[in-house]
Amino acid sequence: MFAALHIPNFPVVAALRGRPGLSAVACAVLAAGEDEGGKLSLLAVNSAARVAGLARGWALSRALVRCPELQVLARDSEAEAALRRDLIGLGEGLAPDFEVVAEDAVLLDLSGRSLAVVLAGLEDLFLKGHEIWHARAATPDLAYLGARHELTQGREISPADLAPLSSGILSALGAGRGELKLLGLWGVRTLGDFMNLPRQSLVERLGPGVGAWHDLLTGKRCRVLRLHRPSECFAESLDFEYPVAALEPLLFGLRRLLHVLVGRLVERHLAVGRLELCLVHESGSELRRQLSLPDPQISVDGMLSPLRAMLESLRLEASVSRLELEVETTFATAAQRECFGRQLPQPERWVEMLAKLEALLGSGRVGIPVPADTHRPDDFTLRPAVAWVGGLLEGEGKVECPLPLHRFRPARQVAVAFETRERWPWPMALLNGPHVGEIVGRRGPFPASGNWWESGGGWQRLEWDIELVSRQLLRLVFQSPDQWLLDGVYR
Amino acid sequence: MQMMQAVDLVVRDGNVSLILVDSTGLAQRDLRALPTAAWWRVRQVAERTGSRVVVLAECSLVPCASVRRSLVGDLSVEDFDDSRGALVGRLRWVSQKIRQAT
Repeated sequence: MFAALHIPNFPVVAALRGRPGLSAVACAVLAAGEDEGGKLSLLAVNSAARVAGLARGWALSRALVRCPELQVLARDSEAEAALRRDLIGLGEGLAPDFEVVAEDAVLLDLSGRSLAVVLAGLEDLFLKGHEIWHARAATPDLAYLGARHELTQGREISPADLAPLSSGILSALGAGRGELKLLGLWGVRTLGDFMNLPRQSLVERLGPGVGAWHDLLTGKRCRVLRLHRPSECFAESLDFEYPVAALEPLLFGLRRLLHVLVGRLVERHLAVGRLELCLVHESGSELRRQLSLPDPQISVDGMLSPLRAMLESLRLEASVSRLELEVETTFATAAQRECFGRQLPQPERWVEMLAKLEALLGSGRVGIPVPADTHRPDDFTLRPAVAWVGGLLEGEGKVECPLPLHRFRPARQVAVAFETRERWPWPMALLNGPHVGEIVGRRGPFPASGNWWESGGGWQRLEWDIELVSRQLLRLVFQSPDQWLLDGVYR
Repeated sequence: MQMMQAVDLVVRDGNVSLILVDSTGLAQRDLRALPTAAWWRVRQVAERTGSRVVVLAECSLVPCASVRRSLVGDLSVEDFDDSRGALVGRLRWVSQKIRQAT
């Protein structure tokens, strides 16, 4: 036996959850996009709108003619998620094995459960005043269809009970508009009409998918539920008796936490993909760090080693009084082996080496530089190198200039002798800096500007490629009002 | 020295088979102050891990280099209009003598 729980008009119920004042007013939520006629249609309506004669699927213009005081609400994704969580909570209370079959419905496997207890539970369903429809049936899909309609909800149903329902309810099983329209042209108005059609002929004309709906409706097919399992939290914490300032006690504590977590993960055949460490200082402040592992790890030493390298690079403002460690799990075989991509020979050492490099060079100075989404010269972002396994990067091979430019970071300010020609400053010689001399050849100016639409964020510059009398090729930049910068040297 | 420490870390890791060290932006005085033994250590670790280390420098820097070549392009401001492929074709490799301690 299976049972289904369904919240009718889910989007509007969720949207009205935080606005109790509107519950007595006719309200509707619009469907995303336009219908076949190019009109906006109603996705869900509340009970006041139904009393006014409105229904789901109506065009907005028609609904406003019928009910001028109709309030059109936007979908509230956060409220919908909260309502979905509450519905899942109700399902968990009735049966441990259940499937979240749609955003507004759950299917419960009642096998092995006492029917009296389940019936009492279904009768007592309460969710902050929201209406919840439920139905029971021998197969999960029959229960689901029964719970979706007012006529069949609240009881145990058989295929015959579904016969009077509109054939449009087949959309809950995945029927497309084209198939429903074709069935309508054939004169199929109710599920009873559909069930009376010969299955073999249906399969020959419309394909095996429609035959599967026929089997579901006649109760010949009982599928297995895709069980919902809430995400498990793999986190451990340790309160030190005395605040700790040295590295070794911290590592000792981390090793203990890792042993506990690894024990739990091994039981579930899982591995660690990412570690999140939180050090709570004696002063109450927190320091959080995330560590992505290049390959899923299940060995304590394999995780402790990069943690040690990371801790060595930290400068703590106070002693540590509490240690929290959370791991993000993945499957041990999650590493994708590619035919054309090279794997790291020793991936467990890669993250440790990156942590040591970051400790040596400073935070935010290790990674893969990729051009930022702007035309501003020398604007780049650093992509984490942990995820790199030898594959090609996007945008690789784009050449801005035929000659390689060795940039000075930051650009070096220089004094330039120049004259003004056609409103542009025209460089004649470099007077100081690493490269001094008369300019014998030049290309430019190349004006560039950007972010002018942001107040205070705009930039504007003129660039020249110049050749000195010493045959040195340089990139020179002028920034108003009177700043000359040596951007780099062509080598 | 920070450059040498970073090179040592990457070479010892053994995950990267080709390591390009660009020292052209550093001051010559600092580069010449690097101890010769540091480059020998890098070479020994690279041989052990199977890595190749290519050092870009403005002058001879690595005393224990297996191969030392200078790249001669003789480029001018007119060459900006050529394609990169054409410019690469005009570059000339010039082998340099290597004196190694035995």
